[in-house]
Amino acid sequence: MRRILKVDGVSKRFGGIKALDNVSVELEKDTIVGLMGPNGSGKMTLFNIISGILKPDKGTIVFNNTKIDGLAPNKIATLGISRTFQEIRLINDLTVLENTMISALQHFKMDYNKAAEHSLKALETVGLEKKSEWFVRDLNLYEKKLIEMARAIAAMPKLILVDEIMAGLTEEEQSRVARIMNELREYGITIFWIEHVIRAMFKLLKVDKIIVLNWGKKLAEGSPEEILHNKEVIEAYLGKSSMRGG
Amino acid sequence: MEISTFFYIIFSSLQIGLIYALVSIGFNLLYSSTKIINVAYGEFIAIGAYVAYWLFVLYAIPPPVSIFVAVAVLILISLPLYQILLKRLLESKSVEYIEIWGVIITFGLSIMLQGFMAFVWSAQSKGYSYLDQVVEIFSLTFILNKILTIIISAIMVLVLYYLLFRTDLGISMRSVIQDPELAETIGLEMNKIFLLSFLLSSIIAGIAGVLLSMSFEIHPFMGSTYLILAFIVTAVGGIGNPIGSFIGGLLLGALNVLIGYTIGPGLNLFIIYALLVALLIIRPKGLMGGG
Repeated sequence: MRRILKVDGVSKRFGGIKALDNVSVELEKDTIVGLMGPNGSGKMTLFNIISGILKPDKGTIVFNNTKIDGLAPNKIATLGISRTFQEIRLINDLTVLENTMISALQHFKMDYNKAAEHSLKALETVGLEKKSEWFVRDLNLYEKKLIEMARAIAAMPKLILVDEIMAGLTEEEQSRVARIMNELREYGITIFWIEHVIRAMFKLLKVDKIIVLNWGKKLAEGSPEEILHNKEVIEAYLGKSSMRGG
Repeated sequence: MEISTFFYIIFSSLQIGLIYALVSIGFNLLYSSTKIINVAYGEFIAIGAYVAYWLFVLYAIPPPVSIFVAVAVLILISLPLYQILLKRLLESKSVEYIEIWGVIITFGLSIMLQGFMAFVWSAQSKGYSYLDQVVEIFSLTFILNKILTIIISAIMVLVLYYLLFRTDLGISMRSVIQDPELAETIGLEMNKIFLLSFLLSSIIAGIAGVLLSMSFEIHPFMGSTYLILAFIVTAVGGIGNPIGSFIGGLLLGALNVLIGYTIGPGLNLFIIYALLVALLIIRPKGLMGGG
């Protein structure tokens, strides 16, 4: 079976607000799947539930034939799910290499030197090996985003949840990040990708499928071409008046 | 000031400062990784001191050897304490809850340990003489046990530096200190890191206790002084910053000796507190806490 992740009927409430309402998603191996939706549509909640930061109120999540809903985040990470964050989360007092090593040390029980060697390869993948001894606080936004990618790669995951990695980057930087994501897919890593930079989602990468959420519900699912012409999606993003105005 | 006095001040500052640094690193490490303010930390120091005292008095075991016994004793005390009381508290993941209940639990433990030590060993101060011969180096005189204290403390600080900055455990601890949620999402086993932080902190306290017993009198209530000093150094050096604790410890040690030499030892804590308040008004996150 090619399916790697199955989110089935997941719901999550925060007080009176339904952040996710009976959402089901399936991801196949070695694919890049986009996750779109206006602000507050539930994208980040879904990522937080998959990675174990939040527990779903209802529904199940199966990753690689293992039920993961309710597991602690570190257990889910060990099973092969890595993630990056919309607001960059790195350990400022650690070097670039140390930030990348954290996951390698946890997942493979390597000794310090082997983990360093392994993590250096992950840094090579994103082109940051020359800055491995820098402190992350001294790097720019683009480089910090690459470290998050390298940290995710160093865990040798089967699935990476990528959260708005293109935001704030120049077009050239976005193209470089897109190349890295393509390479990862070629290595056999599935990517589930939240993105607001529409150009990146539709032009820079060959995305296999896009899922659109709105108000906590799944609004649409299909190829980029289908999503681009989906009236409900356009309406959700631009509002009804713009639809009427052509 | 005579040159011999100058060297005496440097030497004493180093001796006291390195112990303060050790004590503070242990306290800071535990608070910053778990958010537990261990009020019984001072009593752990006292236990280390009593281990050294009794082993020396009863069996003539030298304090450097007692360090290993003190470490074992502190592990034996800390392990069940963590498993029974602190583990469940930490599982709540609520910083406010952990801070408040951590203080209540360890405050109770502090009173129990003080009472136990006073009951079993009496409240009277005790002391012993170990390597109290004077040696002359470049026509300056030093007491041998103080030189030994400096050497052992310096080795301990180096070991801690290596542990925190050159091992996987150190990277994990520093990650948990800065962003526990991220650390867990990346795959860190939080319970393991919390337990190791608590054990390491207790071990440091025990070793500091052994070192203190070599130069100072010990009693069941000695811990509170060092707990306060650990608070001060943590505030000065910055929460979650072991290097800040090291520098803060040395500074406080030097200040202590200088005040004792110039004004007299009675006003030490008063002046140190006044300076601390002044510092925290200017730099609320401490000297090394990023402004």
